[in-house]
Amino acid sequence: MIRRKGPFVGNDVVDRKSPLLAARAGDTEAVRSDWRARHLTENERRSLSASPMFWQIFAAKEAASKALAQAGVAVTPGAFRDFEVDLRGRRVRHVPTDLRAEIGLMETSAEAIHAVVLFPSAGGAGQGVRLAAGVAERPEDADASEAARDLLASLLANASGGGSPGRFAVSSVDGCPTVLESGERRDWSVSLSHAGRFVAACAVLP
Amino acid sequence: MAFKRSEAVVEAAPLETLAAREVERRIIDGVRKYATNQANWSKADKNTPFLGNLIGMGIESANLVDITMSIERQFLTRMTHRVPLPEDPSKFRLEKGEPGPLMILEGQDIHAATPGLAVKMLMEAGHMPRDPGYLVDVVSFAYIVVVGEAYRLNDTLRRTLRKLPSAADPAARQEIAANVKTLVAQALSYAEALADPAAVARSRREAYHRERSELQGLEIQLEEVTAKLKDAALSDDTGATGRLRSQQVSLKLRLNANRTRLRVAEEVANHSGERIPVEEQKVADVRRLLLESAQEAEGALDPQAANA
Repeated sequence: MIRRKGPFVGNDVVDRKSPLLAARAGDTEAVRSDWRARHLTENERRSLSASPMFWQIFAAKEAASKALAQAGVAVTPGAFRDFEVDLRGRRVRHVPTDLRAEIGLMETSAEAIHAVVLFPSAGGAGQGVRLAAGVAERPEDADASEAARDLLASLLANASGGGSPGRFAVSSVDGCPTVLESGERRDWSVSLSHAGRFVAACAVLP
Repeated sequence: MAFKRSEAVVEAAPLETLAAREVERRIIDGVRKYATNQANWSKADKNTPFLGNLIGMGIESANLVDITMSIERQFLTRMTHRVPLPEDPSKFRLEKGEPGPLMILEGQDIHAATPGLAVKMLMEAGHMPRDPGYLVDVVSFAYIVVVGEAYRLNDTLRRTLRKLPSAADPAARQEIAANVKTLVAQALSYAEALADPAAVARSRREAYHRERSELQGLEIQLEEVTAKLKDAALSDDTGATGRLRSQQVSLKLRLNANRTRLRVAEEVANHSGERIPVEEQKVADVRRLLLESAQEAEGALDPQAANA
């Protein structure tokens, strides 16, 4: 069962100090260059001028792939070049289908980057969409997936005027996260992400 | 040709000289640094998913390119001669040529969700000889998906259930209990569906047919637009030609995406009906877990009924 009503949301968090970030790109300059090339389109490579930008583009691609997958659009796992990100224009284009999504949120600090993407594009920085989003440090020894779900439950409880976050449970259907509220399945688009020390969650609320 | 992995220097080896089991071992070793679940990685076999924390190695989807590159770095192949594709000369297929570094083409590894499926992909792409003895107990992509979904559902039910005793407030407890009930119903329904391979195959085949109908619809649209474009090219209406051309480009792009989606749906539909013994075992294991969790949850919701 995939929701057919939009807008759909996807998010991605990057821990900028994670040792994995450095480990991934390879040992030599040739490997690093190949690795970057596999994540960026020609236009993105031309526009790239600073290091945080790469990870902003990367996070926006991951977030967009989640938002489009929720809408039932075919996204090929690992095909980063299927998405083209325009950070200045806050847009993401799915190249194979020419579908457009928009960057609803791009939070960048020295520690983390959190991107939230909305599909279809809502007409500029998420206008007209009730978006709840947040990043939190993962408690030490906490399971990352559970911590992200707890964060989402807190966001949903706050956004709906209080009450216990315990009334929300996050399940998944066809690989996409779905929300239960006191036993009722809610048709809300939600997304979870975790990386290194951080967890992040977001939701489009009715 | 060598690369450094931590302290060790790993020599890239010709795939045609290696046994499938050795290729699998190298693939597992190569992804160690991306595995966030080292316990699962250390006991990984050909059927351990790269992604996911419950039964997988805990590699994140953001590392999919890293898995591909890790495989490429370790092997040499004879499939190095690039032959441009007639429909799109910027793309190419690989044929036999001089031995050289392995290249996995974009989209070629979409089903390579486990080390065993990655080895199968290398065999199917002609990089190494097909070994039916090795493939006989490689769990299909279809069942990696189906079984993975079941583990995630079980995990959600267990997590929600754990919150029940700590909720002191009766209203809060009732809200959590309602979620548990819904999840129990979902778990029982999934366990029932898993029991019947024909039902699994039926639902996956329906998904495949939906994808195929969409693809056929797009192909018809593209034919129509292409025919109109030919007519328009004979006229002086440059505006109409431009519109049709952009429509044609957009349809081609959508067709390309739909073909990828159809490949996944076809793979899943083709394999979900016939189970090999190792798939039967994995399905039985996760069904048992789902049923146990559902029973425990029902007991927690209604202790009197459980003790009766």
